[in-house]
Amino acid sequence: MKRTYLNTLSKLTLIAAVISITSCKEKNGMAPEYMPDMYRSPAVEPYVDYGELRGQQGDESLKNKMTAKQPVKGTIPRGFQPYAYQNNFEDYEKAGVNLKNPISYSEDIEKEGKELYGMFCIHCHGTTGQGDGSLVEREKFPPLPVKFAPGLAISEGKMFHTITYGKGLMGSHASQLTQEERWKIIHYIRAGFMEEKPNTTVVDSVIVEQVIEEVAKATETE
Amino acid sequence: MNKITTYKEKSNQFKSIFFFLSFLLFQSVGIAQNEEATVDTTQKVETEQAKEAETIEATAGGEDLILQGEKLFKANCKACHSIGDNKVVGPGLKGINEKREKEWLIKWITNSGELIASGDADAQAIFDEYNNVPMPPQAVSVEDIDAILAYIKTPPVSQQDVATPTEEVTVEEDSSTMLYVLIGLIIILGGLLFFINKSRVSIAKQVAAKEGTPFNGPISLLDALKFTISNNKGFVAAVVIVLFFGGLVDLMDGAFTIGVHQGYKPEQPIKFSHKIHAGDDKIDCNYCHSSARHSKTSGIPSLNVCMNCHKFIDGSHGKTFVYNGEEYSMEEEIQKIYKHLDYDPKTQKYGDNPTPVKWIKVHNLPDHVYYSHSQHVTAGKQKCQTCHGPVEEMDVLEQYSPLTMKWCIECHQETKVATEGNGYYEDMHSRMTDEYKEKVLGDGKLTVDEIGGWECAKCHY
Repeated sequence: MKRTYLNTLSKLTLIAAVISITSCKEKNGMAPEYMPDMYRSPAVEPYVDYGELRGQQGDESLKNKMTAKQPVKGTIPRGFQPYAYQNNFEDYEKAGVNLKNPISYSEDIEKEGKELYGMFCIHCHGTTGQGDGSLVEREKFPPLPVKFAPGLAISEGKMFHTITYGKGLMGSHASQLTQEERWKIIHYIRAGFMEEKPNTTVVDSVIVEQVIEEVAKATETE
Repeated sequence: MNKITTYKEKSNQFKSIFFFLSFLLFQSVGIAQNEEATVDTTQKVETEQAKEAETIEATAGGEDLILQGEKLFKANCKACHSIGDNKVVGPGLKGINEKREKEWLIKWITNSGELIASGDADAQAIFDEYNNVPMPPQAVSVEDIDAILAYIKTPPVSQQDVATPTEEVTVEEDSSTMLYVLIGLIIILGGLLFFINKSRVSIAKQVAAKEGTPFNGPISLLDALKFTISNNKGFVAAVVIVLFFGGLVDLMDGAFTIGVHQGYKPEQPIKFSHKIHAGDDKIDCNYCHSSARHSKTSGIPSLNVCMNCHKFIDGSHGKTFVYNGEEYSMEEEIQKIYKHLDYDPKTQKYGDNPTPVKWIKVHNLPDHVYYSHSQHVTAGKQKCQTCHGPVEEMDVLEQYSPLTMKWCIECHQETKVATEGNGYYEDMHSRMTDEYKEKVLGDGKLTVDEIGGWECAKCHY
């Protein structure tokens, strides 16, 4: 008698164990947390809801506040250089005449520029610079009016202005690329696709003075 | 026949019934698990295809002229103009043939600046409307313009009413339904057990009545269980021990998953598919997550980055895509961006009431760990996929790596430092004592842990 019960009951136990294991996993959910005191920061962290900070959970007034903020008005980030030209056609022409690449050309710089071009430009302008990027080939974007080729009559200043503000269908890439990176990309485009003799002399100081002057002018008029 | 022999017979009945029930349960569990593993059935859902792409031969030039015009339009004009009435960069060109004289159009297209300078009122009005941005002179002949205008006048039907293409849709069956089936089965089997017990009691009573002895065996299911337990103490003890240690092992396993959110896969408020953007479109990770190269965080792109492309790509072609096994309209999801930005795609103007998108953060490191993206991406030259897995194949982003400390230090132990062409390391290694040099570089490679990647304070401070 004992043996028969033993058989059935041991089977039942096994079944219960299998069920308990298979039914526990929660779909798409987070794993359980235990004593999460040190998981959460008491200070503001990027992309963390203010209401989720340590010691502030449960404070409804802090919830759903955007964590990404704009810089305080009238301040500029360290190392940032204000751009003296406005987003209009007149300044596009002006920038084209006045702006010169402040970074002196070298092969290393061109290599860096190529890397950046591969991240930020290639899906439209393509590996050859002729506008054969993956987005154009997949017909998400129309063929580009600009093809980087020798003799293309666009000055480096205009290129910089275009990357900064965008032109036509191209949007502004100022939030993704620092000014230095923009100039590096321009070096790559001009040396790689337009076969231009690159500028190897540094014109940095001239640019800075000019920018300060232009900014002063711009603030005067405001 | 005494009572005990009656019970022996009953117990044999019991045995067969229990065995049958447990067999059923086992089967159902087996089936449930099998199906959970294989429900990912791929179904080809064919959306209706409006294949009425007959071109209308309306104009004298006919089909050839229109087709030539289409080609020219796509190559020269489409970057700034649409053939509808929506603005792209310049105005939409629907009805331009009726609106303007042909001579005027030829003048404008070949050299708009000259036309404006000549004091033409219409030209000046457009120039003013588009913020004094002139249309660049186009290198097209008069015949080309003829073809383009013919195309704008009567574009092929397939482009007026955009065809919906065939999309391959993967439909994943929800495995939670299997759980409900399982629960239902358990309830049914429980009920069965109850009725079997009832009939057992009635049979036992009848047998007892026939023999003329009073029935005093267990009646309810609970009593039957108690009876069984009191007669099988050794077995019960064994079960308790097994359950106890089994539970202990389960608890230990469970403890290791605390705070490890591997596989965390929340649905985002906008159904952004990394598979489409990074996989199909081949957009580099850094394009949107541009701060990964410079900063601690990889950065969730702000909506202006979306608008670099989605100002033009508005999803009005009506295509759908798959996100988490469900089909979504591209247009509806892109409209969400516009809504958050308070942007009107018709006028291309931004309103003054934008709202942030509340993306759900997938990768959360505890506060007691410091991790910097730029250190790994720029200095360490690691691919994003090393930690984040094949993101270009994920429609819903999920946490690929466990992000445990074990995982960190194992990677630091295996990953070689890229010292080639780096003067810093050449200098540093030339100054090392021979003994230390042998210890660090003896195996022919320099790994991250050998340059301090295992120092506690590198990540915990």
